[in-house]
Amino acid sequence: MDNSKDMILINKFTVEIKNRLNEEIQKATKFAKEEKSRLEKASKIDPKILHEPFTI
Amino acid sequence: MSVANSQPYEVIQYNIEHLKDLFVKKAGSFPHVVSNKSHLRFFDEYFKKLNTQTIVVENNYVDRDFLEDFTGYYARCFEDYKRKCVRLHFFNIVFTTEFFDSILSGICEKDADKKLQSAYLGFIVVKPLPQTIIGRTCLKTYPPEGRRIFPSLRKYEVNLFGINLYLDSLAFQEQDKVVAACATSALWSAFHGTGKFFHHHIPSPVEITKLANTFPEEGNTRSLPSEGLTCAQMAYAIQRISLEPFLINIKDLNIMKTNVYAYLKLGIPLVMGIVLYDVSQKPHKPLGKHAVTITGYNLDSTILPSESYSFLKASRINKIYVHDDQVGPFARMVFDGKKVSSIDEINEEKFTEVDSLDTSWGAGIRAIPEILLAPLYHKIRIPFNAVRDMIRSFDLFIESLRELELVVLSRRLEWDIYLTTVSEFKKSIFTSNDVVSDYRKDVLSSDMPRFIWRATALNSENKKVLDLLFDATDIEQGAFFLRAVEYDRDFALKLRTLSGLLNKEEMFNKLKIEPVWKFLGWFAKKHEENSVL
Repeated sequence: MDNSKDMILINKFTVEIKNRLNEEIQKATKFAKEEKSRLEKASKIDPKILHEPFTI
Repeated sequence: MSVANSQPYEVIQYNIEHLKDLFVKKAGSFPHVVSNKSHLRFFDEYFKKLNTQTIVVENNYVDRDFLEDFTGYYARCFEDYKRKCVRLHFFNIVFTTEFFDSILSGICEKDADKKLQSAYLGFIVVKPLPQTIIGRTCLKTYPPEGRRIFPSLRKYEVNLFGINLYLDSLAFQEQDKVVAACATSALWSAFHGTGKFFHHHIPSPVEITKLANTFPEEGNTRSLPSEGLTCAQMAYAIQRISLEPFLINIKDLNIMKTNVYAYLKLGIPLVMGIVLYDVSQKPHKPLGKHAVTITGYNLDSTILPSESYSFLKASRINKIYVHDDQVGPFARMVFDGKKVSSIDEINEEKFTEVDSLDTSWGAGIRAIPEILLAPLYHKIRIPFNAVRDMIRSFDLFIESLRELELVVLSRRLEWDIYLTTVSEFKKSIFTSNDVVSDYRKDVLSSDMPRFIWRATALNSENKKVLDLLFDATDIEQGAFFLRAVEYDRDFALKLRTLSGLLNKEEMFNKLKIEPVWKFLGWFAKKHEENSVL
């Protein structure tokens, strides 16, 4: 592993950055859950459609 | 009635009038019937684009699919239908009957058969029926030109009086309105792809209709003549050939694009159910439900995808290519952003504006996509949406790191998510220099299941940053993330270090129960082990 690059990143990981990252992750997690639920709803099959024939 | 064919072959110069005459003469049809077929207009444009010059007519051709349909229905009609078809072969070079005679006589120039192979454009079987005459049709696609992609093609070998010819295509045929309606034809084309890929018997149209009709539908009392299949019947036919039908609602066009891309890229043709609308007058008039087979797509690098899908490469699709039995093979359907006024599902007195696609039916006919039916091998269990949702969580996490300048990326990552096989994946690693030395050896020698979901992150220069691999044969509640393959060394080092730091910080304990931790845990472990990179 490249230890010098590792150290630069560790030094950058201050309390302020940690707090901001924590906030960002909370927001992103909430958005991801909302999107998942929206798409699940949009992908749901209406059972009526299953029994309508394709005739053209 | 078709005309008896005394000579075994004929060589004819191609033009649309000659093709029309051949359809009329060889099928025993009528000029006005053939002239009114939308297929003729389609073939006119298609063969021009392929620079078609010559037709070789193979008279007295026995077509297995038509023979099955013949024994299943036509043989028991009072009318004396013929059982033999005529096969028309198309070439993009000019040659004469004398030239073709000389090849068969063995007195031709050297490598003349190779010349024919390189000029071969495919064939159309003409069925001896009064109206629905387009039988099994395998034609070359338009050239890819870097944007047209047809993953569903397979190799067809053709023997023309001893001359071996081959082409990459996917079989198409027109519904005959007796043993097959649109849904049967769409399934038949799809099974030509899956049959080769998953090694199953490819049923003929009459077999498909009979299989589907063993699932009884209310109000539909007889299977033949077929008036169409329902979605449930199509799903049942798929099960009867030992595949699993995977059904998706695709009214949201982004859901459609992403699912089409994800499954089709493996080579699985998909059946799409649409509602056709006549939009030439107001209010827009629904014409009925139609089924087609999706065989390819067109990617546009200049497209600006919608916000919630900006991370998926599939959102760049701007056209799909379908086998539409009422139009022709590889027919275009275009995402042009126009909408159709459709009757509201809740309040039937109201109209709502619904996303639609332009079709190849001609001006004024548009399609609202309704369902997508993927015939899958039973071991492909994890659906695309499970992988998409996990990638979204990870992508948003990377975006947070990018915002705080903890990783260097000039723009959001773009994700290329698709189903693949272990052989295809390892071949792609083996034949590229994306990863090298011990790391490459580690990836190639890793144990992996037969079917894999591959999510490749691409940077602004379209270069691979990393792959996330998932076991498509697992169960959703299982840990179906297999491993990452890191291409961008600097990015990977940062991700490993950060994941290691997050693992130790109490503040981020909540993160460890989120889906994204499946990935971060892997990177943290690699950091801890100081593993090869």
